[in-house]
Amino acid sequence: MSITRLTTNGLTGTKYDTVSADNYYMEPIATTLLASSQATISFTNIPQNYKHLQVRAFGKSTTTSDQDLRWQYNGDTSASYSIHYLLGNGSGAFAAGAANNTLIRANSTLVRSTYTSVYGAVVIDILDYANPYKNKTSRHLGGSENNTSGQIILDSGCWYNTAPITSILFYPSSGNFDTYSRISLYGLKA
Amino acid sequence: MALQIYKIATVEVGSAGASSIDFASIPQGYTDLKLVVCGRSNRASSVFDDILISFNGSTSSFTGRELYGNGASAASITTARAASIATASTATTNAFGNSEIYVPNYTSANYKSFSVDGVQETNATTAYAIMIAGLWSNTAAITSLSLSPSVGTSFDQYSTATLYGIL
Amino acid sequence: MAKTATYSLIASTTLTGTAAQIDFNSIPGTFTDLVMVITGVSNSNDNIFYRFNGSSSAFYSRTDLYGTGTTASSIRASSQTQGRLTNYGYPSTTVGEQNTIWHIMDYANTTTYKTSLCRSNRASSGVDAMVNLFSSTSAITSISLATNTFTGTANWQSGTTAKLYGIQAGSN
Repeated sequence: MSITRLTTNGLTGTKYDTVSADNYYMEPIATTLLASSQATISFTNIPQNYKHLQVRAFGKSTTTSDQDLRWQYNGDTSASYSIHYLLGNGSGAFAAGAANNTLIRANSTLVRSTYTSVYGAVVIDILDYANPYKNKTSRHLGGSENNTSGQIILDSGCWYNTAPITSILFYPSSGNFDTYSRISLYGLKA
Repeated sequence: MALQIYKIATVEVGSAGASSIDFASIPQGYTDLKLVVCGRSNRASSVFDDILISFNGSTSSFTGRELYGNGASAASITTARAASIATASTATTNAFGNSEIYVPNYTSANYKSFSVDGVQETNATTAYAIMIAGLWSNTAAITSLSLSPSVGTSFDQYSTATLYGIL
Repeated sequence: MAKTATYSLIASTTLTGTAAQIDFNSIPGTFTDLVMVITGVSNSNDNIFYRFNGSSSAFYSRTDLYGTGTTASSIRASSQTQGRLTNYGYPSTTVGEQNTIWHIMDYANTTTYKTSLCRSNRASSGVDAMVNLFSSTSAITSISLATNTFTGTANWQSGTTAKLYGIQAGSN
């Protein structure tokens, strides 16, 4: 299906993409599904020909406390990130933020080992991940629920680096990812 | 029959900035629309700016309810045309917002509800996350949409918006 | 080799009359996640309830973050006999006013309980973000939707739509 007309409203230098015949605009890049517990899950050599990335994660911790899903880009472990969240825990709504962080996180997404068979989930959207002029802002809707307590969170993070994202390292805030944890990476085409 | 997400168009703002980002002549062959926005506004003296939406050139008959966090507390307000959030001039350089607007059944002869999840970031404690329940109380099919900063006068260079059709 | 669609429409329904419940049966187990988009119309201004695989066991629990336009807060429920997707973002009697976007993760996994995330919206009453748990390791093969509970008297009205999509992950 093609566009027959676009207006420009006089935007200088504005680029409009044309629609191609290939409409498979959401493509899987890679998935890791764990057959045993593991400390980290990484995606390297991320193709640079997409417009946006989406990560869909389903995870569990090997520890006896709920853990955050954390990640870093391009091996950057420096204090180059900020994080913020809007959270509900069944009792109230809360928000917080932090600057100069060494990581980005999806809050309390990895369910503790105490609750057998219970996993948390999060959908992470990273827009313009390959744009060389923009810091990289991510938006994450996620949470966990164990029939006793739960948290639902809209998180965000920013990597203060204009370099295109070529790798992502995921890890729990403590312990390992448990068996059957899964992280899937998708590209949305330009 | 297996069906896919289709990209309709992408707009990237150029060096002169843009008072609005417009999508005209939206094809009517899809069921839902998904719009993702990665924007920055020239609003002065603020880390954020709301982004307003209009459909078919109309700025009337919009209502909404918003839940937001500001890095310290959560609150809820009523809104009208707010449909996204952008980073603004006092936010960290080169930081942009990240929002998704989902409009189900955009060609129907019924009112048009829409769902918004949005964040903006800056390297400080204060930054905003929003969730909006929006409604355009108009039965016309959506054939065009426009985004504009609420307080600022233009989107900054490199702001982008990508419109997808979903069958 | 033909490409495989990543995001595929499995089934959709648009009501032209009333219905006590909406059912999606025989859901293929070949996807990784499911996404359902609902625009609900109820004759009783009531919530969206769901059951997986027809189960009425006390397997359903949820945590909801909501905004009403004046209040931001959160509420939970445990060991329910039906799940719920709305609190303040519930369907009204007017077509097109409400929507729910629901992500059901790893729905075909037979070793894990089923966690799902949803956003529900109704501009005249509020916005919900919710995490739901179905405490069964059974693969989800059917989804049923009701308004005003599965045993209530309210019905879905004409104009209600529900679309079920499957998302395929890449290979390991």
